[in-house]
Amino acid sequence: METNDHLHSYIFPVVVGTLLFALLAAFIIYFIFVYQRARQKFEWERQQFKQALLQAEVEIRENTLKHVSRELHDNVGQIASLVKINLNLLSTDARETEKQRINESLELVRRMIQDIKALSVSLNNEDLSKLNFTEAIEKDIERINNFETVKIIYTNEIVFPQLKPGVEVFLYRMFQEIMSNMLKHAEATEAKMRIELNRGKLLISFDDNGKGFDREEALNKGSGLTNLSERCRIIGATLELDSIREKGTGVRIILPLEQ
Amino acid sequence: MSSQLTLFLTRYLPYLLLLLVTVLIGLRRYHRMSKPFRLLTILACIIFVCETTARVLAYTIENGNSTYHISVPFQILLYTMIYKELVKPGKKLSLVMDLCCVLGICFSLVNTTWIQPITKLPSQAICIQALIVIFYSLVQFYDLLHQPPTLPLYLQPGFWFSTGNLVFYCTTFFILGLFVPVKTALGKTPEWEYTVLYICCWIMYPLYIIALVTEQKRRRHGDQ
Repeated sequence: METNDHLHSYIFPVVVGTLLFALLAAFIIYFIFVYQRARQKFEWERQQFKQALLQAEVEIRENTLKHVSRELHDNVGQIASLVKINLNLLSTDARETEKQRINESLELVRRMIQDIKALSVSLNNEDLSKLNFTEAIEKDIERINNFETVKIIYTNEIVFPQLKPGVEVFLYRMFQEIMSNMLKHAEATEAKMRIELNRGKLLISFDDNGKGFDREEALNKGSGLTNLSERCRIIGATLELDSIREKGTGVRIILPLEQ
Repeated sequence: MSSQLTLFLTRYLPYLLLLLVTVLIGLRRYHRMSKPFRLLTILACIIFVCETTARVLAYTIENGNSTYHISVPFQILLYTMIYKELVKPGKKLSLVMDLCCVLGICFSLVNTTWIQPITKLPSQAICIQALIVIFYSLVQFYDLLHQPPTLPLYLQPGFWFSTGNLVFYCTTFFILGLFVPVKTALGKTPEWEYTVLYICCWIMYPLYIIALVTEQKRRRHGDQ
């Protein structure tokens, strides 16, 4: 009888204690589950915010470039045209020896006006929307080839697909970044650019025979490569980069078209 | 005497060593930790001194309960300070926490003076302390959910600290809530009550140690 009482006195605390521990364990497991979900949501929102921030940054940069382009076209271009007119007027009254110098200056001014126009077009994305991506890069390649410092071989055998609004501008700016890096740093004599479609992906590749670079070093030095990878991330593309010292550099932008 | 020595060697000595390890880990990293975990180290020191004194008094004057009467108000105050630093509450919540702290300390003093004299275990004051700490832990969990930081949960010292507190103080509340009625019914405190509390201490203090270690890792990751 006493043993029974003794046992009964234990039943209540054991049952309640077990329930309490089970409840605590369930609460902690549930919390971990909910926390993981909240953390994922928070991470997703953070990524979205970062992307929106990057996009805003790119838009601001585009607007600045548009402003510079307009200034080049309306202001610097106009002044250069006036200089050209003045030089033309001067050449009619000038002596033979002076005429030759004035004509040389006229030629230089003509080239300057041409370059300003080309630069103004390449900086303005409104012109890009009029031209389309392939036409715009063909023009730029032609301009670079005219410098005769590097020969760019361009291959495009596809009909360029219709992309989301703004994506072409991103691709074009990336193309400009790559070209600018190549002209500034690579010391290349030949480069190849190719546009192709492969299994629903748009592939834009660049290869030069320049001096190459160390990827880590380049990432630490400037924002060129960072800009490229950030732009790629915004449009959902992948950036592949191969560079071997004294052998050259290869850059690939892979854009899934279903996006 | 022999059974007392056996009990000391098998139960209290490992427990005091665990507390000492917690204190030493806290002190070793003291200057590299943020404010709430510095306070936690101070709290661990107070608990260690209190438990050691309680053991000494238990073997000399055969009653070590008085130390708990002294330590409970300090513990309530320190837990409030720690959680206020951890949660960074708004005005309303801060006021509620301050109120909990003041009421908890007042109740503890009233309990010592009129309800459970200094020679008895202040089970009711500890119950109130447990309630307060459970409330703070839940607030901390809520805070973790509503402002999820970038670091994973296992690198959140606050999570380990609150989990330890939740397990220990829920059990303490349950056990000490039964303390008086069970003692009255059986005529003495059953051994299982001490065993369960002992197990819970072995859950809580290792979790405190994990919290102190992850705090340093978290700071290395730069997440404040």
